[in-house]
Amino acid sequence: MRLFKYLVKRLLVFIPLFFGVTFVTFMLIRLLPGSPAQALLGTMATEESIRALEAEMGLDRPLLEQFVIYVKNVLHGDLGYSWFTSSNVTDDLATRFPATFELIFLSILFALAVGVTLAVLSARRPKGIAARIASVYGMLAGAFADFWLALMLIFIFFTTLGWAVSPMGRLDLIMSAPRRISGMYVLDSLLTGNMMTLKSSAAHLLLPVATLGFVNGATILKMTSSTMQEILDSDFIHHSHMLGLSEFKIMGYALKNALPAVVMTVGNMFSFLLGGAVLIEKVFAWGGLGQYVTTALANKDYSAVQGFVLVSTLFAMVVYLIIDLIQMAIDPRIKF
Amino acid sequence: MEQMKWKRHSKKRSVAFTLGVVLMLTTACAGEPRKEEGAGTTDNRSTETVGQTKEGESLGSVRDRTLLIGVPATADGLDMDYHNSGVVTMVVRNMNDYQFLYPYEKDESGFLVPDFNADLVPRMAESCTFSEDGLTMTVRLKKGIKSHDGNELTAADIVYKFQSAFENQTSTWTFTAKNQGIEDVAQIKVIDDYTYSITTKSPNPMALSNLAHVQTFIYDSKASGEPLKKDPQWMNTHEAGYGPYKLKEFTPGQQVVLEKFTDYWDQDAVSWFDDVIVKEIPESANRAAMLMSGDLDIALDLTDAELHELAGKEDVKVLDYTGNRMTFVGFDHSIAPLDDPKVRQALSYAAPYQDILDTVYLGEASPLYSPVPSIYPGYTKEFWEYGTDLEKARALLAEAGYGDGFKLDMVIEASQSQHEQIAIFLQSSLREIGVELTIQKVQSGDFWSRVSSGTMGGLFAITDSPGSPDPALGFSLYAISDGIMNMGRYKNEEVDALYAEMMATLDQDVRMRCAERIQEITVKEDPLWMYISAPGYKAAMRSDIQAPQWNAVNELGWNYMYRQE
Repeated sequence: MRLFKYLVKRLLVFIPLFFGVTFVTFMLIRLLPGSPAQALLGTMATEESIRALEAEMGLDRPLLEQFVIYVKNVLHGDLGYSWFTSSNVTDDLATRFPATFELIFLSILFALAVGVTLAVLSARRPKGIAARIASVYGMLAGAFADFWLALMLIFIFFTTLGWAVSPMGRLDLIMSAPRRISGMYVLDSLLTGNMMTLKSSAAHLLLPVATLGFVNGATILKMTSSTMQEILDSDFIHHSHMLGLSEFKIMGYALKNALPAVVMTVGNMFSFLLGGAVLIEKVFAWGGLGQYVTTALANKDYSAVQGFVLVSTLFAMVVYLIIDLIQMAIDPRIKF
Repeated sequence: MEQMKWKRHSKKRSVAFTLGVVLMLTTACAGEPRKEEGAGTTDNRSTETVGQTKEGESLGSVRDRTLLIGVPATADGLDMDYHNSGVVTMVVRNMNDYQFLYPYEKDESGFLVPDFNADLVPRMAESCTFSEDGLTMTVRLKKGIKSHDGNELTAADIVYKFQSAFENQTSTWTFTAKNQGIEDVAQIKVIDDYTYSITTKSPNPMALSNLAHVQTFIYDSKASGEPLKKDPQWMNTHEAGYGPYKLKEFTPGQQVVLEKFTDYWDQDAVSWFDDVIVKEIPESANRAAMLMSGDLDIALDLTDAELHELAGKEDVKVLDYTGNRMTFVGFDHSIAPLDDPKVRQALSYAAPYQDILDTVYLGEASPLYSPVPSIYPGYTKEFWEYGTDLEKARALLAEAGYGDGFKLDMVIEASQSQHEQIAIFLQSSLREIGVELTIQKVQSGDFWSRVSSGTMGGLFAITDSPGSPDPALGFSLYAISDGIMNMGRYKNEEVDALYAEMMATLDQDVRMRCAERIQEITVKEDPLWMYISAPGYKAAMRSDIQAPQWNAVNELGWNYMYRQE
């Protein structure tokens, strides 16, 4: 019952958030100079044809009226029409969301594996090899731009060594995609038993996941490491040592106590990377949300930008809800 | 204690259950995109990447007969009235066909190129005749030409194209109809199913050559009529062509897939390749790497440095054709001091042409001497007298009353790195003559908004090409007062009068004399632009790819291409 009330409270918060975000985005994008109708029609457009297209796009109406119409449509699940992709924005986002989600989900898993492992090992032996590796890794990962690292990995593993597959999207060009269940190729390949696409999609994910995972792993490493250091200095850990508990068990307790901070970091990373992976998407021709929205911004594709902002707001809300639920599950101090 | 443990387990169970529900809902929302009737949905448009393999077919055999082209950005839509990037033009040209075209000849570059000095060859048309007074052009179409939807080409298709263009005031109406001398669709008459005529107020010397321009493709009115009435954007995601390729799949921002049209009317020109995939690969370094590895057959829009590197590789070749592209720095002729021809001449003497050719283009571009490309009839470089001469530049500025120099803005499109380099070279050279140049980089949308509204505010850099070899077309774009690419608002009454004379006569000698005089004015006396470079057209491809066709709007034709075994 308490959980239910908690969930209802969270849902109610979304309503004013939705209106606020929609309104601000709606107005801000219309402050950008230039007309999308003119951008679409090009240099050969006459004044009349630009006005006619603006009327068709609904841009000749007062801003507030446009906003009200937009909100009504959104409440019916219609995020509008993209004049630049000639498609419904809902369809565009539904096509691209799984591509981005698959990429960032696997990247964060990779970052967790690298960051948490190094953090635990270096917390165990602060002057050991793992700690030194972690220190160098933390510096390098912070210094590298993700797109530069991506290009370097492509140059080394694809161009020079020929080990990696070509950076042209999620699948070999001449291969048919697996039957769509979630839109994520690795998952759909597994669920449909399509080994050919599983191999190809996994191979195409290697370099972009390694890039994003490497760059973001440093944040997880630092957060886990500093939290664990603090916990390892605490009284209950000293007490555990005195009780003769094994090092493995003690590290387990320390990690469990450090998890809430890690979980929060991962949540922030998820929300950020939904649009923040755009450079990686561009380098690997991924066809994800980041690429979509940056092109939409350049084209002044109002519906696409607004749709993306709404979806990413909703996504962030879901992510933070999941994070909070996980926090509740792992931290007995947190009550509904 | 037991109660606390029970409470913790109960909390974990309810949290786990809620998490499961939330995750399931999230996955469900990321599932199949909606498919609705109405605007924006298509039959042959895919919402996800779909490959070409059929059951039992080996990837190897499919790969051989699939042409893979890497481009920086795919089309956002396939309707040339709304989208006219190089990729859109390439795809549209290959899906459609034309009534007349110039015959192809093999160029030393390796391309098949149109022979602009030859007569136009009938393609979907059988013949074209003019009335004695030159006012009426009558075209007879070939019989039995079928579209991708199986409908026969008729004269009604011609009328339909112009009719819908007039109704929707599209760029076809603005540009093509204007060049054809059509102000009212009533000027086009259907004589019988395969014959139509166009009557103009004055003889139109470009009437026939216009029919070879990329925008004058004809589409199937029966297949497209009803859908376009319901949804004017239908052509963005569909096609109704008569050309050698059919649209198989289109995913904006990712790829366009076409398959050969086996019932193409010209059975001698049916494509060797079964499929063509035009794939968006934004990074040029990746396109180059994938070309070297064989993952691409053709990589377009590579940098000069990348082309340089590829030229030495064994399995790759770089084709370099002179072409018709021109890079120029335009002037906003409506603002002082650029409204003074002497000032424009001075700036033209100050430009570091050779440094730009050597450094920006790595020696891979030619000088530009005229607003008419060197491969077109009527071209002359006779009036080019500039070179980098700072003394002369200073003297001209002093004559014009600007001996102390002045401040000037230059706007460039942010995505054009070569234009930025040219701007930087200009900036340091103009500083030597007292002109302080401020460079503004603007996003593409803003840049072209300013182009459309003619508010450049100073200098600006553009690379463009006139898509028809008749010099009058180029003048109509760039040099006449109401030219649609005259974003610098250049106005010279003599040029306008000469253009009008060119368009009012069919006498080629008179026309070429007018063209020569226009070049004298726009290059020497009243400079239209700073003439920077002719970058040429370059395409890198695998060595086994043969017979690519170059076309006048700098797009590749595919249907004569094949992979050498």
